[in-house]
Amino acid sequence: MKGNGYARMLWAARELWVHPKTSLGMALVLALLTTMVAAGLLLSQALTATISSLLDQGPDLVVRRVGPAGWQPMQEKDAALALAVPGIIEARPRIWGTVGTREKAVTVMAADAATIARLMAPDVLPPLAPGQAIAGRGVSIEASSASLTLQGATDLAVHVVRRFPSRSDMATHEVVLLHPGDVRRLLGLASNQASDLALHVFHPEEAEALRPDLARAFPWPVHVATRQETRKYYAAAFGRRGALGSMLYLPAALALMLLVAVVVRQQIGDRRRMGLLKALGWTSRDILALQMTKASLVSLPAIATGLAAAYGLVYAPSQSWIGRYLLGWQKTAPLLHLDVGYAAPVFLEVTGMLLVPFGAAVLWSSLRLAAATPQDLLDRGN
Amino acid sequence: MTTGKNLPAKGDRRAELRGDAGGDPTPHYPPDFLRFGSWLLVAITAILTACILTVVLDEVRTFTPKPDPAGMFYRAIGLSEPALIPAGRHERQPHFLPTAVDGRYLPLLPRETPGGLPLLDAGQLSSPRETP
Repeated sequence: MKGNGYARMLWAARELWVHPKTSLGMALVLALLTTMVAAGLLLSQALTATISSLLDQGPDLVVRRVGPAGWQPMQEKDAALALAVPGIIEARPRIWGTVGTREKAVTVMAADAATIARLMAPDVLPPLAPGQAIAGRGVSIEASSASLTLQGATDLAVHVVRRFPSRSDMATHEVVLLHPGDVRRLLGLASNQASDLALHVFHPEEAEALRPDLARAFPWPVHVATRQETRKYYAAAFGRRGALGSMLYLPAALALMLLVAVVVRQQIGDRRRMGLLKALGWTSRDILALQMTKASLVSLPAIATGLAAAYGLVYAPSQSWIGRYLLGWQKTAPLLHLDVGYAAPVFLEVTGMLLVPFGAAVLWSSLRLAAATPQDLLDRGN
Repeated sequence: MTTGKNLPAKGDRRAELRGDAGGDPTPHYPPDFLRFGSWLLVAITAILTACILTVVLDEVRTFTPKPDPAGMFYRAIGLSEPALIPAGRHERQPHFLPTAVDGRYLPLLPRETPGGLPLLDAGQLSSPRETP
């Protein structure tokens, strides 16, 4: 056996085959444990990173007029007040809100000619006329007539002329783009009124410092939300869900301890055979190497399979289980295309988390076997 | 005395593999188990290779940044909240929300924004410290 790695691996595989159910069960438990722990960590990392990159594409600041009853509309021309603040380079009045359909709430957003031109070339998609709409994949429409009835301050039936692509679901899943006049009718806004102002600043890191200036620039109270605030809010919201998910880690840790106990028990149970091998001339080093090889043959494929399964669960294109089971969607959940950039550190973390206690248990029991005399092992047996 | 009554029949292969043959408590492992061992090694190597290749190839495929349609639409439309949580819920829009949707769980519950309460109306009290 000395110096012959393949022979040692072959012999270890043969010994695993002697107890196929135990070996397979141990591998399955290890793989499931890996999937459970890795999927939670990967999901948390991926959601945070993806939301952050999406928010980076949005406005730096959002200014809303507020009154005693909460939100109040503002005039479109109030954008000039924001542009007067040094550092603000773009102020875009937005006309948007939440209205109902027969099934659920949707976000309606006004799309003027400039917005449509940003989305698609004018010869491909002309500006929306009153009564026309572009809807996300999560908005249910009448299949035959492609019509959609929106219920706001008044009911409005619109004709859906185009759908957003599924790859943009994380932004547009239940967004309905409408002519500005239609959105105003639905939200009860007067002509030239807007919901809020989306601002871009020259140096994004200065956004927080511009809040007092913006508050002074308007003659009525305003609420100024920074991108950083929104990012923290979503991180906290997903953190709460993550905390609920981490309750799964408690039984996972218990399962890991049981697994370690099974390994130790199995290794100690091999005393008689190890004694026989030592009596036949195997050295303590051979015994130790054999036990470690057996453990590697079980644990490495199991952990690799568990990591691959977790990777597939979180990053598989077009998966919607996260939205359905974690984010509160009931019938149509958005297709998440998550950022894979942070997968490698999680893999290393989970592998270490599982291999260290498993390897320590095997090493401890193997050292006890290797240090014993053949007579002692044969006498004490199983 | 061994009567042979409890011994497995001659040629009982499964009993031999279990080590029950001949009443000897020491398990016997026939040498041809090495053949199964080599198959097991091949299977383990294949599983490991498939898992590593799948993840590595996918990581390499997504390593170069590609156009993000969600981000492009998000910027073009001017959104400020991603569509991960259903619309109409407080969690979706944490800030003040222009909405035509009644977010109450039950229609009998009071509305979320009741407006200024009469007791807080400055016209009724000449001073905030004044008490009846």
